[in-house]
Amino acid sequence: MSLPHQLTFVEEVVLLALDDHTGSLRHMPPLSFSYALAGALIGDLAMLNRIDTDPDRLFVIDSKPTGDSLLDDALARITAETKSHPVAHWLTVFSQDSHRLEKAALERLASHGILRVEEKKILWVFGVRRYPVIDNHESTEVKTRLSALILGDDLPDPRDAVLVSLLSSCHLISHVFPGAEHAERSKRIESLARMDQIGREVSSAVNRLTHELMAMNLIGL
Amino acid sequence: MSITASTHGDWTILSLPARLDHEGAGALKAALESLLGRPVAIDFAAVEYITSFGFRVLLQTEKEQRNKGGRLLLGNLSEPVLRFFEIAGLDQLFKFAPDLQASLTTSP
Repeated sequence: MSLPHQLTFVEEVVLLALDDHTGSLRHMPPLSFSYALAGALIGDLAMLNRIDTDPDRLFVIDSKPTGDSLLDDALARITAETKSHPVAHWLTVFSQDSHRLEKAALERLASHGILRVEEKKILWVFGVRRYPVIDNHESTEVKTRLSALILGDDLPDPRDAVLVSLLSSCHLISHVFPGAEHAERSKRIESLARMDQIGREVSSAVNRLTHELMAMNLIGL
Repeated sequence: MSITASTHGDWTILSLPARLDHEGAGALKAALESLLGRPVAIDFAAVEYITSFGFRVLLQTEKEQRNKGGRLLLGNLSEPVLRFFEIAGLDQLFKFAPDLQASLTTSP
């Protein structure tokens, strides 16, 4: 068995988005998962002290590569940009890469022995891929930690504040923690989710897109 | 980015520079290392700008102070700076002193 690997936010969000029984990604509102993955990427760069943010912009504080190819690609893109942009801009940019982020995260989780890749055929014709978890240590560890945070009143570790924000933004919290005891803590979850700017920006972006989609539906587009 | 330290009774007061960004927050973190578990006041009188990095260091500090039985007081915040805390919902997590000197004088 390999040494424990600290999962990135991208890997954690993808792992927690997998349905424990089917090994497929859970159904989430349109675009919310893409934005959550984009937020996870930015969150990873922030935690590694490569970028910082204020209400108006996201900026590089250290362009040194992290050693993680996904993060380094993103960092290089931000570094190469001559104009400064807010977090929301980068969320939109990286959300367009979300399939690549998701695929890479699943491959990494498989290479760490956390899940395996299964190819199945539906009706003998349609190929689908499933990712059943084979070592649930990581998943259990993060769920236990976040559950204690949600049900308690302790201050979060900044990293956990970002993770709760990201999960909340794509409506995964209620799936990851389906019990009534967590449902009763919605105010606590909201409070935790607000504590980090990146998570707040992901939620704002998702809410904005949701309203735009609803408006388009209403006018028949 | 230097943090100046002074004392008032049992309290250590750390006075922040204008920017609590990754550099300012890094200096704050270093200054706090030997003070955790004791009463610490952070003077925001000169602060004009805070980034997410700065907020994370403050959050982590408050958490560690609670765990170690220390105290943390944030003082002399301007309205715009306080507003940042309100947006993040962090205004409910910290203890604030609009007039830091007055608060420390009357503080037990």
